[in-house]
Amino acid sequence: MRKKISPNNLVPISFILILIMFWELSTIIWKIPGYILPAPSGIIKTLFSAYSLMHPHIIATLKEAFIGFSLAIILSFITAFIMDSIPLVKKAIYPLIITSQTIPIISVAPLIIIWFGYGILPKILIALLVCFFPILISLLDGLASTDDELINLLKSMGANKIFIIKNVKLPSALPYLFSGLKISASYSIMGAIIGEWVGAKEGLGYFMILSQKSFYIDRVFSAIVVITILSLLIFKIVCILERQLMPWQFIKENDH
Amino acid sequence: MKAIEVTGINKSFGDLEVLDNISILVEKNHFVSILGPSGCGKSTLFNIISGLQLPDSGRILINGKDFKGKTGRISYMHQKDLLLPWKTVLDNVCIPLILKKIPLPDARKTAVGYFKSFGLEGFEDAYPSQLSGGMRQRAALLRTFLFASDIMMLDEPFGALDAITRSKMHLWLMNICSKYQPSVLFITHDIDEAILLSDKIYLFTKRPARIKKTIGVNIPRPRSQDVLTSSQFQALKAEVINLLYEEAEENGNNLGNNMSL
Ligand SMILES: Nc1ncnc2c1ncn2[C@@H]1O[C@H](COP(=O)(O)OP(=O)(O)O)[C@@H](O)[C@H]1O
Ligand SMILES: [Mg+2]
Repeated sequence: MRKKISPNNLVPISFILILIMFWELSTIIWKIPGYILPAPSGIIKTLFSAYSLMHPHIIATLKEAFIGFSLAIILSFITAFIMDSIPLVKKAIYPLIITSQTIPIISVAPLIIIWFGYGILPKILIALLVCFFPILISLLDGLASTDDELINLLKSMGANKIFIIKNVKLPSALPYLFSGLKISASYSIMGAIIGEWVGAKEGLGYFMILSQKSFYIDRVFSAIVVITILSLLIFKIVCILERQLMPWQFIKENDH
Repeated sequence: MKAIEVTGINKSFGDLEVLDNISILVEKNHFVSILGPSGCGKSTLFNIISGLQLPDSGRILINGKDFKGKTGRISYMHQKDLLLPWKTVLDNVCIPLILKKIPLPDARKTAVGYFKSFGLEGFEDAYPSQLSGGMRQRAALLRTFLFASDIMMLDEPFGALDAITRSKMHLWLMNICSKYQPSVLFITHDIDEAILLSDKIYLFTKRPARIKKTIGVNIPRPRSQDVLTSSQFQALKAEVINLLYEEAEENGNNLGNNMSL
């Protein structure tokens, strides 16, 4: 499916292109050496030449991010449903959850590495941690947003708890869930990379540290480009899923 | 035959006395309205009759059987359409059938059969957000109807519609009623609507709601919009308005508030 570039996208895209051109020109005009700030053209070149080197690291990072993200979805669903159906639990835990969000993940990451070693597990855990809370909080808000009158009506028709969860609670929480998922989707890659940054044997974070130490600044930048593309890709997948799962949200109103 | 018979219903929420000795009778196949100011306790009475809430005292008989605190017998429609935005119109109206354990394909087949009478033909696969206000209320009414077509309670179903749509809905509803002969208990605060649609009107006082007067409407059916200008209609309307004046004077309240029921 080919899409035309809409006028809405035109503005940011041209702005980015202008910025890149400015960057390219300034490295030429002021003769900035490649080990300080490589030109965009150089970064692209490296991206292709060093790709085979980066490939296993990309796979490693993607794997950690994906597993962390998936586990975060499962865990936040379980937690959200428990909290939503037992008000006391929600009352007790909710403030704690909000407070925990003030702790920077980078300060916790080394502890997790110490506790769980240098393998894949601590990266998954860190990705899980950063993804968990946005999903949980959006789900909780979504579950709390359901119309009590609607639930009463269905109860008066003899609907049981499971029917109401499936047909009312879940669908009305979906728009909220997806706003959380979109945030978490990009966080998942970041979480995995933070984990690798603190201590790893593979992954894009590890690749960046290695490149930085050897003054391959162009490789660091190539890795950044890859990370950006991966994050955008995951974000896009979530957006596509959103459309698939909530067709009613994307319908034009009163189109008859 | 008595479809709904409630006797001596009292209900308070804490110190707030809402219903004071309410007794109502809906004969089989009759259309009975409750006309009363907002906040007087009409919806509370419906919640009690439908079994969602318990009265402090009183009896609720449906087709002669005790239904106090038991849900699932009479269908109940609210002012809000309460359609599920994520289900198509067809699947929305199928919900009561699904809840009665009818398999989805059979439920759909049954429901589709009514789409024409309910003015929803061609909108089976549309989402509620694609319908006009009037169509949404008709869809909600079809859902109500599919839950229990013999006895229905409608709580200000047209309250949110504009005047023109509402008067079309009145004619349509009278049509549906003459076709399917349900027993209907109807809440409204619109005097014209109450007289036009009903066989009998219970006029409620302000909270705590008591029955101020029971008014029989003997205008012959089928009724059309012309009824609104007939002398019989005007006489009934005058009677209702006089009763409201009385109410207002008894309460020493300014009339404006009470007229705007
Ligand atoms: N569950 C409840 N708890 C406390 N007060 C209620 C409850 N339900 C209704 N009320 C009160 O009872 C009164 C009657 O409400 P309602 O039956 O909805 O009135 P109506 O439908 O006639 O407008 C109102 O003052 C309302 O605030
Ligand atoms: Mg009401």
